[in-house]
Amino acid sequence: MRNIQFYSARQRGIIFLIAFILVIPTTTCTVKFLSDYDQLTDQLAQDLYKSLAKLEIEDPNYEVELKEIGAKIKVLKVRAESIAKNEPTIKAVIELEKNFNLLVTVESESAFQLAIETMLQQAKQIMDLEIKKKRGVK
Amino acid sequence: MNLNFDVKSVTSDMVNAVKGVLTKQWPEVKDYAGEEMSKITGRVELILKKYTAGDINEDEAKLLLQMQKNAAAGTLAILEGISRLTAEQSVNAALGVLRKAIEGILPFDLIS
Repeated sequence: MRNIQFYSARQRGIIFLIAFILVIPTTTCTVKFLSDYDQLTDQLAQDLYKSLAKLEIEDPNYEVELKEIGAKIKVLKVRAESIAKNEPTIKAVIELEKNFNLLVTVESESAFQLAIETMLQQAKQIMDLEIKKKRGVK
Repeated sequence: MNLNFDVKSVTSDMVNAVKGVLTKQWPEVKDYAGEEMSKITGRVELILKKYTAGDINEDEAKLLLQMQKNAAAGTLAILEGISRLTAEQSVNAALGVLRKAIEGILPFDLIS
């Protein structure tokens, strides 16, 4: 089969330059590698953190509170997934959800405390990233 | 289960492993990476101690170690996010300099 070449290298270069000049002014002056700060994600993560912090395995309402925490993680995940360029937060929430699924099987106080500390760190990290999106890294 | 767990050494190895992945943005993430990895290794040490002391059984120890593994994966994701932010800030700062440099040279905004 004959290989038809429509444009020479020079012509392709000119086309690229024209496209570059046409496209750049219509775009913003900044590039985005990560989603912007999302207030709702921040609030949901904070709420989750507070719920985890006050969770007590000996509490008579433990099962109910555990279910609520599970629901909060799901809401946070749905929110995170609805935002473009938000893969790091989505992955962090998925890992938190995996740990929640392990937490529900914990029965002893000793193991429970360590499990909760781990999940608190995870929720805090999600909040940290959101704050860094708002304020910048430095 | 290996009970000779050197927290400092393991934390250092973990941090170095992260450094190998996030080379370019390492100066900006190294403090955060160190703090977060240190929390995880500290908990792993505690899990081993509690297991040895008989406070938790083998199944619980395994479950808690799995949780640390998941937490480490989450930490890496967050560090990747911080790296992206750092790169974004650097590129945008460079674009800002470029915009200033060419301002007024062209009759239109090349970088608005």
